[in-house]
Amino acid sequence: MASGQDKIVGAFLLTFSTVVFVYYTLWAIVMPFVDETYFLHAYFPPREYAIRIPCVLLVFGLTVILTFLSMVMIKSKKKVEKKAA
Amino acid sequence: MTRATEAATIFGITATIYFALLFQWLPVTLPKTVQEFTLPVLPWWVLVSFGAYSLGNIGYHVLTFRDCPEAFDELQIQISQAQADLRSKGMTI
Repeated sequence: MASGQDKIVGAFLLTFSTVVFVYYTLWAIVMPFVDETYFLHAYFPPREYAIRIPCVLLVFGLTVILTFLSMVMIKSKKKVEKKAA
Repeated sequence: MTRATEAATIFGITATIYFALLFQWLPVTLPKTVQEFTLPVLPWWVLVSFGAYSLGNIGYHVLTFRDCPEAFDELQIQISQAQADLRSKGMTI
């Protein structure tokens, strides 16, 4: 079997992704149809955030990835120019 | 039909139905909550679910990765056999 630490990381990833999926599905799909006075609504932020948070995360993630990509491309171009000089 | 064409077709059909419902091009009236909130949130829900599925799949396979001790032992024997064979033919290992 994988080493103990690997197993803990794997189990953590699995439970984290399950929790995220269940919470987000409840929040975005189920809660709009639940009566406003039901106690569960206290456990979820206002509904707009169900759209804002993934949107912000996507923009932020894309920025990080594309910035990294552009820096690598610039560096490799500088190396080619240095070699040609 | 290639896999790519098939995937593009399914995506195109789903996207058309989704936008038709979202911009109300069809003479179909959905319940108010569905039209106002559920439809706009669906693409984000698909994205979050895909991310969660990917992460969970990786976690599951990391968790259940088998070390294969039998293959390890077999490989060790084969390595020592190969070393003995090469030494007998004059190589220094």
